[in-house]
Amino acid sequence: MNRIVSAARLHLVAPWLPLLLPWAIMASSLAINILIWGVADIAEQTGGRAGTGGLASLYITLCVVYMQAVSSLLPFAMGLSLTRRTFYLGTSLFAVGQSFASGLLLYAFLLIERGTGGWGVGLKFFRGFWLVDNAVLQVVIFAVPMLAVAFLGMAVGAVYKRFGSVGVYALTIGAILGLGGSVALITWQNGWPGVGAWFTDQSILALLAGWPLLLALLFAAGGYAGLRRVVP
Amino acid sequence: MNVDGTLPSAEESRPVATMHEVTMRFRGHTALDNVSVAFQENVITGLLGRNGAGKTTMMQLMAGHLVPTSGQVEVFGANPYENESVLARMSLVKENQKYPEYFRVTDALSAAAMLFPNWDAAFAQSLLADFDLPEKRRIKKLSRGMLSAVGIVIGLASRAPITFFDEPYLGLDAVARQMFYDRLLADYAENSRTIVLSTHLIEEIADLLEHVVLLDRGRILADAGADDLRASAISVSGRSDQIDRFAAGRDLLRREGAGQLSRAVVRVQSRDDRTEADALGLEVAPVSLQHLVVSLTSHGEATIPPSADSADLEEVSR
Repeated sequence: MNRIVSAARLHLVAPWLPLLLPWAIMASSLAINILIWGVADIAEQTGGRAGTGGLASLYITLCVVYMQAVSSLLPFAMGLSLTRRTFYLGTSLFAVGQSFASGLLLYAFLLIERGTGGWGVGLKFFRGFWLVDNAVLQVVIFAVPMLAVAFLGMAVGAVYKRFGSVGVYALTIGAILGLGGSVALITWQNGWPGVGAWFTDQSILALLAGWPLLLALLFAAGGYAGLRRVVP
Repeated sequence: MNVDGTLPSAEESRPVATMHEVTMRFRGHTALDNVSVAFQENVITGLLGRNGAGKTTMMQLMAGHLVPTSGQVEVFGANPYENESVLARMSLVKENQKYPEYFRVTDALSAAAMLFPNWDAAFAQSLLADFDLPEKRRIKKLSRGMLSAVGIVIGLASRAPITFFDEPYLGLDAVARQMFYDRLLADYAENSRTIVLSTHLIEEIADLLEHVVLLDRGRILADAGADDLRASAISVSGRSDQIDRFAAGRDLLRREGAGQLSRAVVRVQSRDDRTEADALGLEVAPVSLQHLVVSLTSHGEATIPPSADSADLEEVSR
């Protein structure tokens, strides 16, 4: 257990990359959005309905950070005689902590956004598509998808370490074919109304926390399976 | 040497890292071929052999970084693969160790301090000073020699009960290498542990080694005490026809020179070897470890022209 905690602390040895970089990128996205909203008066023109996907920058950067955790921190950790399993458990522990701490921080930003009338320009950067009036639920909705994204990053990192960039390309092509094929299949079967109904039937908690949690677990299992035979 | 300055006897030493009939195959190429070996506790063993002989593969197997195609690897009595309690007692310094690109020297050391139970921070600091390593510099920006020095500092200061050094000093100059040998030996005398060191600079470390494992094309060619190994062969030089006569019926390991004068390395057969060589007018000399290793592993492809003197053999190419 001690070594798992040490493995988690490994991510804090040179903390600016894993901790600060995603927020710096999100902050730049926020700044640009505030600027555009202010200049073009978008809130006024769209009746306050326009959203922004700017928050995705935080999640995407985190995904990359966890990819690098496996591709570059793992070989170092193994050089310091950590097992793959301990490294993975420590990294997972760190991801859980980071996700929920980030969820709290994002909730604080959301409160600021509300308090300042959308940063003074009616911008809904942190609100997302659903209005949630429960603080705990809101934190969970921020945190769980982040956890899923972190495990996705680790899984891709494991593929990269095992099979190189060719492996990552193959994975990407496979994902595009799989997702695209599903879209084609649903369209062919006139399934979209059914899909829409499925989504509206889900509770917000299930949609933004339950299913992402299931995805996180799937990615976690896949990532660990890939990692088990990685050679540093 | 042990702490008290005596050589360990066969009775008191015990194996801490072993391989039993290990074969390691990569795509279309066999790196280790049915190898059995045992590294003894608290002994400095030299793992010698040419490039591609299987030295790195052997260490990676011992560290659980690789899993053998067949056979068993045991370190401290257990399979090292994904075995935390074994690995916590092991340190492996690799020539091509990767560091996260944003790490500074000091970051690598604090990470090592967290993970090695026996880490000696004061020793690490003194080694940093010895090797002139700039603590705050990013590892990515270090010269090749300094990069090697970071690995050496971690390997020594980790004080792991079993430490593998795999070609640890690429790019290090002669002074820094001597520093490494001195520090290693001094610290080993105070904190006895098992050390396995692979290198091409055989002559430099010959005095350090108590035991030698010689690998060649994935097989073990020799596994013996360094002194026994050196004593197992002699070098004879003199007239070529007399050399022919002397070599007949003996195990000729290497022959240099094709003209009137020749030199040969032969395996020692009996105590009478020297007398017989004397009778033939041949000069007998002991072989150095490096000369012996070259003799055993050159496969006849690297014959030395007759004019070459022994200095060429001892030359350290970098």
